[in-house]
Amino acid sequence: MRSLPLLCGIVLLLTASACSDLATLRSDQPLLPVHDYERMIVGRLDADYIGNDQCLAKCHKHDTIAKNFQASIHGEQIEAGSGLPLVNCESCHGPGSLAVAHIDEQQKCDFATLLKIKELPAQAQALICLKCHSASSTPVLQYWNAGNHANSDVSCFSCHKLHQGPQQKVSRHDVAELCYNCHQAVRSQFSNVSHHPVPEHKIGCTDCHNPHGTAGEHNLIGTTVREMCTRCHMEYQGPFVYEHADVTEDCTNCHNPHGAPNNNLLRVAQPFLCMQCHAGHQEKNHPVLVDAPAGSSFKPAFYSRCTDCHSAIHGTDIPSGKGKGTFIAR
Amino acid sequence: MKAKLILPLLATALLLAVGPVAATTTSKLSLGYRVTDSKDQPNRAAEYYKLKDSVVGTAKISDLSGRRHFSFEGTYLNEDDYSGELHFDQAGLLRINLFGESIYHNLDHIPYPAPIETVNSPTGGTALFREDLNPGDDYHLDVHQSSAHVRAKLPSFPAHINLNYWRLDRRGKKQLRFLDESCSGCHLQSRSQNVNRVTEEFTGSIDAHIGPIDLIFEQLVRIFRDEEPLLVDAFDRHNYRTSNDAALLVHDENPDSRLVASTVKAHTSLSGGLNGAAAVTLGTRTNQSRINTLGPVEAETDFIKTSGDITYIPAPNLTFNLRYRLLDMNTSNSDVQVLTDLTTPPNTAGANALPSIAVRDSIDLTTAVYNATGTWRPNRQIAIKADLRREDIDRSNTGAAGETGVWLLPEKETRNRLRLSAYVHPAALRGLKFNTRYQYRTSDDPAYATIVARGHEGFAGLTWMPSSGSWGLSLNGRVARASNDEHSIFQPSATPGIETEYPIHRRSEDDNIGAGIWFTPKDRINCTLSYGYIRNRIVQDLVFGMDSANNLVVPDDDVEYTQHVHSAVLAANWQLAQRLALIGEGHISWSKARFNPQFDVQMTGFNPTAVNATAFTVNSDGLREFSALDTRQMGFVAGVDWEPVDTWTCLARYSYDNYQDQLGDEFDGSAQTVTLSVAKAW
Repeated sequence: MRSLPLLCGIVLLLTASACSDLATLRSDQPLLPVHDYERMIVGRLDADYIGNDQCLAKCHKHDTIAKNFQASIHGEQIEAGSGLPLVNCESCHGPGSLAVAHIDEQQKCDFATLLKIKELPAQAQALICLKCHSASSTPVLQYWNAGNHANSDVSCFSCHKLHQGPQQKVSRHDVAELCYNCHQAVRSQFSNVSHHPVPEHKIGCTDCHNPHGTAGEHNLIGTTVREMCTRCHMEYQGPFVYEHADVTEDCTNCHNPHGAPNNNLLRVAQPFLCMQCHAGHQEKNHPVLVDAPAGSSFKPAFYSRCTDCHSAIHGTDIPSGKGKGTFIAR
Repeated sequence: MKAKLILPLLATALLLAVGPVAATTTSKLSLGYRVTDSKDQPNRAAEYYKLKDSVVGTAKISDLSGRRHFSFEGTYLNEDDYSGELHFDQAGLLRINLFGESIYHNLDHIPYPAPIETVNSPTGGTALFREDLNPGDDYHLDVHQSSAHVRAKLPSFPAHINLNYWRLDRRGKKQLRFLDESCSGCHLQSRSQNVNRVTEEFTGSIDAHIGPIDLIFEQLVRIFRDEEPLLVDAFDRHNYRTSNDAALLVHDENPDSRLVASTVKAHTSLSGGLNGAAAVTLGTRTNQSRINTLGPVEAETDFIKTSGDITYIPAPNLTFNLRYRLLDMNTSNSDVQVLTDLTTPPNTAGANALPSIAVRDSIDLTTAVYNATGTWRPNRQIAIKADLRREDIDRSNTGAAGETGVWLLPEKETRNRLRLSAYVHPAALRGLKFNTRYQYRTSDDPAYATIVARGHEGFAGLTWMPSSGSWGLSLNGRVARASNDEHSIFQPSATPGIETEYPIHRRSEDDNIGAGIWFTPKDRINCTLSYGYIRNRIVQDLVFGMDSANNLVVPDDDVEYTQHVHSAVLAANWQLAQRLALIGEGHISWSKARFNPQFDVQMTGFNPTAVNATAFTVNSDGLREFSALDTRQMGFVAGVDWEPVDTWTCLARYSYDNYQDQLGDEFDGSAQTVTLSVAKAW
């Protein structure tokens, strides 16, 4: 019911939009164009756009790339009626007439007359993609501009290799190796004994992170760490009648989701893990720390794994024996 | 079984629908057999593999011709380890993605004594018992995941309708270790727990580009069901009751739950020098527990999330970002729970009747995050970034120090972070990237000991991919130091309602280095070598014991916990001949941890009364060993790819994985597999 006003708002906006000029509505309307960046990506002003066919007819060296591109998501989705910009080689590389002007003598394209994409600032590189994706409704890019990657000199081409084949998205199988190029410490974390199965290619980085930017820290999908983790581990979502306070706030207080030397991705071993915030056991009825021979010492029971007794550590609906929420089975 | 058949059947059907095979149609199928072998306990050595001899296969079919694209990719190792993904795209107007996957996850069976072990109290009091009710059981989970995604676009307008369905099934058996508390003697038990948990998520959304803004509306419903019956066990005397009668009681419940969230997002053009993005989500998390032997079980969280981003680029060499995030969670829970038990007839009156229990209120939490970033690029080779982040946390129902039955957390906490970063791409050395950062963090009232009250962090990373393409390297290192002297642990004191405070001082060090290099030592040989080292050291005051009323607490200052992990990976690929390639990959990791409490005192006041005045030695002997860790894990894969004739490939793979615990042998073991397969491409 609470979403009804939102739905009404959307319907009203769409209705209002429908009454406007269609061509204007579907165009990209940047609030404040960055002319310097646009100049960088417009290419040589003395060159003309000649189209893929004319360019490729001069030199067949790039036939495979062109064929792959046509088979890619970019090649197949655009049609004139959609009002979206045409995507071809010159959309990214700039006008190509000068590149092939002297091909008969030089036997190859004059690449120097095309855009030097690799030498452009990351923001200008990204603009090559964004100028089209701004007008094509790409929700995944909502948080791109203010995100960590965009502001760390990472561009779209850092990850998307548009010439490597028809598949231009990074596959789930290969994404970890790509991320490790910059995030090498994460590779070490996944080498730990306890880890999510990323090295086994059964989970990909993009299952938890959206590299295009998100509302959360670390590009996590979901606003909070807990929201991210409980998508798959929803048995710990709760809410519970008896909540464990730090679990409410952040799973990473105890777990390192990339990997840890301790079982269950625990950052440090029990009992130290729990004793960072809680006192260990010993009271008059439980002489837990009294020095005693191995067969009669309480230490192994009370100071090895706290969660053997506090088995409902993520929260529970059932009071413990003393009526507190101490996450003991019952 | 149905899920396993659906994807291949759909793949075939859609392939037929695509019509005549075009030039851009490719397919590759492989079929083979995998033999497995294991020694000792292989569950840690091969944690995510089912060790079962089986037919194996892969399929890759794609038709990318024209305006209708289709692709299917699948692998099959055995009935619990497979994946398949199907993609269909009709001219960008209709995209369908179907995905199915099964992961096999081996779990530990931590040794417990069987039959029951009695541990006598060192002071002559109540003994405790440890018992494995299902010794020898093997534990694992089958994790099945399937999803369907449909994205449809209006033909002549950039607006989409998206429908998503995602389902996660966890089935199998795991070890449950739990306690029969407050019995005549604490009874630590281990038993097998059947797992059958289902999460389903339905998402529908509309997104549209409407002139100056893009609008997105999304509705999400996620449901969790535990399809196993509630766990019921016979518990001994319970503190709620005055008699010693055993009772059947529900325990260790995983409550069914539901999440419903509605989101509206809007953003301006992504391509301008002034961008804005905002989102609002309203949602509810609801506990849908099936428990009917106590109640009411009520817990619900209403939450509002908002986010806002502004990016301003006044000049190409300057970028400013402002980010705002708000999370407001209000949780309601039962005020009182009335207990019954499953004993026939239930104890509803008299001395055995179970009373009502007052429940403390759950915490309400509001977190507001303000983030400002400025980036300056004096030239195309250098970018310098300053990032300031402030997080205001507001908790309610936390209670105050000295009160009992409350959370003892600060109501207000502010965390700040300043981060300065630099990115360098020297023009003279193409392919070289260097970045470094310094970070300072504070918290004015850290809620938990693990929160950083004051912390410094430095990072430097370098990657170099020379244009020669024959080698590349990557180096990075991070050093972090943090402290927290503003946390306390409170324990009940001899005066009712007043708690004793134990101030906790903590220092932590987190360091890591990583190095990676790839090179071609000889023509047609590619090698990759990477090494990583992670070090954690924490020195913290700990409190051993929780009976300050009787002075049976031992504060131990500056207890040290250290953890080191080394890991290395070497991979090589040798194209021995045009049709023959060798591959090899090996990995190894060492982990060590040490916990070093040191106390040795004499104490009196233990029960039973007969020894109340007797002094006992209380010391840390034996505690170190419980947390000590010294493990080695290694593995390698070797294989041959041979293409005897065009389009036919023979593949052979051998893999070996080993886990060794230097301090015990419960989980030591190894696994090896041999796979032979033949592939044909069309």
